[in-house]
Amino acid sequence: MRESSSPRRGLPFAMPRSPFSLKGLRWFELDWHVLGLATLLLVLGVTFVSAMAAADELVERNSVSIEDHLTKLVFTLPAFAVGLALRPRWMRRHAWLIYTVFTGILLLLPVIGIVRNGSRRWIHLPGLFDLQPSELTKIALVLVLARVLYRNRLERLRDWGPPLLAALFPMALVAKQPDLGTAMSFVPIALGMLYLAGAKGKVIVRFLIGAALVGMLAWQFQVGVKGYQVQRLETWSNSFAAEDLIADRNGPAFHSYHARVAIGNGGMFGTGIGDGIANRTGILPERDCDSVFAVVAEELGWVMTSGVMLLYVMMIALLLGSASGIRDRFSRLAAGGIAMYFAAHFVINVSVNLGLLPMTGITLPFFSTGGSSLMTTFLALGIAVGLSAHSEPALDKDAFQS
Amino acid sequence: MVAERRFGPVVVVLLLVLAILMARLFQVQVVEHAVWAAEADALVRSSHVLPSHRGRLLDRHGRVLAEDEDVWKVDIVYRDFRREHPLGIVAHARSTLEMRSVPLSEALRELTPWAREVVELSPADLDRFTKGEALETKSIRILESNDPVREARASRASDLRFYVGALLKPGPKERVAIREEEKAETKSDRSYAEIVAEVRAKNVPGRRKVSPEHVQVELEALLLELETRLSGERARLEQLAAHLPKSQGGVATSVDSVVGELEGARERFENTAADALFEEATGFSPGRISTESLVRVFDLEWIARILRWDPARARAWAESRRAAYERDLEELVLPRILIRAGRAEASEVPERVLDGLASLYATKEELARGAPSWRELEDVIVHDELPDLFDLQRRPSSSGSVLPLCDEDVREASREFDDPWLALGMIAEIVGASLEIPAKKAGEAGTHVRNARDWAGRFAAIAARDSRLESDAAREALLAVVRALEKRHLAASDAGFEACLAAATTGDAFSGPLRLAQERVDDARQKEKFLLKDLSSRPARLVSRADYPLVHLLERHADRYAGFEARPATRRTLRARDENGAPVLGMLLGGVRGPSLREMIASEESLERLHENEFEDEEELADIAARILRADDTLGSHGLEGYFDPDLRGRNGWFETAGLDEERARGVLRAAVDGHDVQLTIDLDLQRAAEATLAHPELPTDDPKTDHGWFEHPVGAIVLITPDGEVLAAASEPTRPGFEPALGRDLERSFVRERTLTRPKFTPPGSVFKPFVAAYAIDRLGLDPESPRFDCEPLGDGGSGYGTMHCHGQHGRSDLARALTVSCNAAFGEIGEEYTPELLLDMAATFGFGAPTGIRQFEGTAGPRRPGLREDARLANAESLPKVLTETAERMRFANGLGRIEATPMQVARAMAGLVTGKLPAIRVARAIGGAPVEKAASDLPISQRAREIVCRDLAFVVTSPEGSGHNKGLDRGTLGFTFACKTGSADKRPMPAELGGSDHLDHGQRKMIKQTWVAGWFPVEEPKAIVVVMLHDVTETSSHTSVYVAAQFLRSAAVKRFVEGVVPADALPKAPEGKAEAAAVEASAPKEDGR
Repeated sequence: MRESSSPRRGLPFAMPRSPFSLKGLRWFELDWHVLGLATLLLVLGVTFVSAMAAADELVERNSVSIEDHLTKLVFTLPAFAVGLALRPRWMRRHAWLIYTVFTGILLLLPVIGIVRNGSRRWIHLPGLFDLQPSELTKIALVLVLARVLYRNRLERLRDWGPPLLAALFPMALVAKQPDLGTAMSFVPIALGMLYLAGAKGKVIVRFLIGAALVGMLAWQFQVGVKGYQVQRLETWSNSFAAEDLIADRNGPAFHSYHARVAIGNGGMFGTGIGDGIANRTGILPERDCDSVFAVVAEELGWVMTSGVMLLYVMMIALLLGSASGIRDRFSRLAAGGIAMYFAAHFVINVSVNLGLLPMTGITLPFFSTGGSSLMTTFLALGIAVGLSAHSEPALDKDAFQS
Repeated sequence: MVAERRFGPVVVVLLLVLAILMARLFQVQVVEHAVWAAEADALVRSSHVLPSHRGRLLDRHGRVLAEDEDVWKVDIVYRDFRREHPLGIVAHARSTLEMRSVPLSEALRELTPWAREVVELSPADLDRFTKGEALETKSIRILESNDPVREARASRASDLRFYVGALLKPGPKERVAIREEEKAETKSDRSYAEIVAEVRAKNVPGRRKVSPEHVQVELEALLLELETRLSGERARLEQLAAHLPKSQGGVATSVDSVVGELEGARERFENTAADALFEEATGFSPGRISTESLVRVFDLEWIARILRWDPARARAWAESRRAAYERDLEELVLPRILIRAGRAEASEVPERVLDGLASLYATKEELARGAPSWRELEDVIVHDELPDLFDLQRRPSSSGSVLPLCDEDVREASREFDDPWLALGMIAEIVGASLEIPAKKAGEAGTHVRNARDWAGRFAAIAARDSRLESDAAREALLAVVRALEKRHLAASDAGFEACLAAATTGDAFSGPLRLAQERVDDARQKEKFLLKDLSSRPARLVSRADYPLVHLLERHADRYAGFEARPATRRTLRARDENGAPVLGMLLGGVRGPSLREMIASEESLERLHENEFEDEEELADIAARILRADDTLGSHGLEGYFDPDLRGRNGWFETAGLDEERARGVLRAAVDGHDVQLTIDLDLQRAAEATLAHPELPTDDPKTDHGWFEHPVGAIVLITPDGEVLAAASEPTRPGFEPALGRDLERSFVRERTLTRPKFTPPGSVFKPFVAAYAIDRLGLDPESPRFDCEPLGDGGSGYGTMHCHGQHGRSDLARALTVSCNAAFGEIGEEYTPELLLDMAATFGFGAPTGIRQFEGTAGPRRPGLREDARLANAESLPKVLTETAERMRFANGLGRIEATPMQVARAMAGLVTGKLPAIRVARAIGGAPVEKAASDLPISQRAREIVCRDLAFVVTSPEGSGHNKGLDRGTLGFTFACKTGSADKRPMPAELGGSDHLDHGQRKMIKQTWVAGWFPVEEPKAIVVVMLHDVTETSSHTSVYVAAQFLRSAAVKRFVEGVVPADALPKAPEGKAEAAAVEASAPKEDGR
């Protein structure tokens, strides 16, 4: 393959290459199926936010604003173009730099961050929205893991060290904010990428079982977990039976209860968009963000919600399929990692709302209104789609091996 | 490739996860749909009691005596006042700036300048303020802050933006301009007022270009408009104050008192809001811990920030919590525990009391699952929360069992007790409860209840006397136990907080209060918006009965008086009043009251059942709905309102909608059923005449012997009934309280009592009893009425009479007719001598003495409890009478209506009706209930017609014979216009006091006595239409000098004349409003006053 036809070639010094390049983008190879599905999901998301805003306006609530959401979309959609134009090789070369920048921001959060709901997770972007760096750090983690696993086949035990350290470091920083939910979302991304990179499934399963056991012991003996975290776990463990959840509805299970009520109220065919109990009462916390799935499920019902979930999974599967066709191992792992990012958010968000996981704050990309989530979603989508369409040659050995 | 091997399984796993998620979604959405849909419906359930209107009390002609009147009440809704009233806006904007609870009075003084300062803030000012920079207005400078988050600057700025908008009231374009400026990356320093002014300048028709001068002109106009609006605020409040009811001292309400009411509402709301926030975060109310712990251990700054309090206000709140809790405990919580326990089966009461105590100490979570039994109480409030209340480095050491209620040994031991109260006794002893019971009599020692057996005995004794546990004794005993429990609970809590402080201390001594775990504060703050909205939206009563001008002011100018709401209500109003404003029928009509705590608890239980849909069918639903009471419902408490309460009250309805889906939403479940109108037998005109007669008795000018004192200070009663027992009038005097007792008389002049059915004091009928004695004697003792057999001869002591029976005159030999005409005591002493005790008692019973008159028409029938219409029917010491009457002297006195026989005016009237008609009627005061006529009842009088006719003939002589005690007293046909027959009566009660001329000296063998004097008769004699009984209390002279004049005055009245002539009152309603049946009843009865 041609490396490049750059005029810089042959110059006595290396000119810094631009991180962006649209010239190398093969537009006809863009995964239009993925983009089509993503657009469909995004339109659905905007429709739901619009219905929420309309319901709020009806009863003079001020919690959801469609104007704000559209503004965020306008400001964050360019992130898609940025991701699309990012050159794979630049990303590979600067993965550690990107990772360092974002983990650095995480480190600086105690100084520059603002506190909301008791956590110092945000940086105020004047005129825009408050940015949650931990969201973008997930993309940085994907890139750095792709970079680490670019040559690392995880064949020996010591090969596991660098990727695990790379994943655990930002995880620890995010957990310290405290934002255990976001921190835990790093796990499926990292493990998924390790698997894609060649780690044995048995090892990953053992790792998961071990982690689950440690978690159980920590919960049981209340070591290393805070009281409220124990309470949250206990609330969750008591929330499977409807009567238990109902009994605890005015206590710590308040959020879970209202999410379950909304979902359950949807029935087979839903209440109709904007007509759900969650929208009409406004009592479901974070209904435009972390709990947006509950609103979707209530208003669309089981049949249509299953369809939306299927669309979501199709998009992830197409992303994975698209990634699997990339010859460059870095690009392949990065695109796969981004698919894992979407999968992690989707599975965790839906599971939390359905009560299969303890309540934690994690967004549903394309639906949730959070600016950071939208920006990360578009950036990630742009990178994933761009990686498979960039014409930069893969020079690694793996490109020619099965 | 690796990819081919790896990506496939990931997709498979993803599909598997999708399948799991879809299955779970199916479970929640489809399988459990009914459960969650019901919960969703419950979230938007709107239900409330539909109040029924209480029925009216009407007189026999359909005229209204009492009815529910539609009135208006005025409430303060503090949320609306804060958000919409300029005073509320400015005061709270200022509080937000200064972070202190700025008094409304201060804000009123500075209203215009402070409002101007608020609108002159700029979006840039607020942005900088949010970031921690300084903010300066004309009168305040807020310093820059290193910790803007801690100072809640973002939310304060947000509030200020709201208050600016509320003051400026910008239009749509102005709102857009403000919003754009607020969002702009680079903000100018234009104030909000300037932004609005600029928009207005741009929108001037025909203007193409806007110059700074244009903006300045608009700005000045805008500020002038604001100032003009605000400058009238005091005047508007003054106008409001002028329309409010005057204070108790008659002083007109001032602006200050209106502001004071608002300040009170604000303080109550803020205190309640702080309580709720604290409880949300901690799981217990702030009053559950000691003031010292609350102040010293808890960092309450987060609450102060939310409510914009300064430290002094926060401390004042904290220091008042425990006292407020103890007050609630004593006045509300303990009575509720006792009343709930008292509703249980007797054997269950001790356990229910303990369960009530357990609910006092149960955690919120336990209570949410239903009130726990004391045997199942595990987690004790406060202590259960302690371990993770604060973010501590190490876990605080915890104490063991805090309360003996949770002690397994105590629970086990209690199962073996033979005395059900002993478990409570043991708990009381363990916690060291003690109670001093003062001695009942002087010289005796009090009791000190301390050990378990004493306590058990004490509670058992209380329960034996008062099974409902409503007495003060029950409350005091339980309060003593709870105080000891609280002492222990507080001590353990304090120790727990000390452990928390110790756990938080590293190195040197701990220097400050502890912050609650962030998660707890976050949880509370999540609900903050709902809590504050809910609490501040609760109305606080300002005026219970607003006049029309006030309602008009608030309704017509609702925009000027935001926060003041006029709401419709009903109020029981007595329509018929005398010239002094006292209600006609007074105590007999009775009154209404609000529901008692017991009734409210029963009502709450009914409501709970309705909310939980725990009813079997429509009938049960109706039953439950009927038991629901609202705090402002009225119940009859006494008199006719009380007795006919089950009919008058009607039945509240229940309205409920649940769910958003209109097809699924439930509509009206049970409509309210208004109470029935009760049409009384009372004739309002006759009642007024009777009351007027008693209130203003005319002193006879031609009788020097009369009792002037009584005519100046009258106490007595008049009863007028139809011969078949319908009460036409039942008047008692006095009808107003506050009269001074007359010289030498008892205190009855000071009391408003119903005197026609009751005997407040010893009430012998005297000689009005003689006709009944005579009639019975003719039949059963063979008394020959024509025989002049009675001797009224001089006695040895200077008086005259027969045997031991003194007479008021020396009548010589008489037959029965003369004996009745002159009311000869000697004759009836002689007859009494011939009676056996049994016959005397049978005679009294035959005429209904000692028995209810039947006015309580539902007596003895199944149905609701009917308080009211108290009747003193039984004879005092009735059991001992057969023995007492074995003495001849007692029988002689009894036959003269003296000594052991007592009667109410209504009993005398009924007996007289029996004598006249031959049927002893059941007295009726209701003619129709809900349109259904009340059946009349009567029993045949077992007295021969001959005997009755003889006695009735003789009673006519009382008026017509020159010797008659009622002769020439204004009772003759010439004076009245109709014939009247009667018997007078005077019964000695007690020796006359010296100030009324009494002495130990015997006059004709007798002392001068205070008497009860009577007249009992009927009219017209030939065709009786009514029976009248007049009773005067505490008079110095006999009936022929006192009560006959009162009877004559009443019988001369125009109302009686019209009644005799059968004239229907001009204001009689042609038909009753409650359907044809009642109308028919009215129509059937109104024109015909024959009374038979």
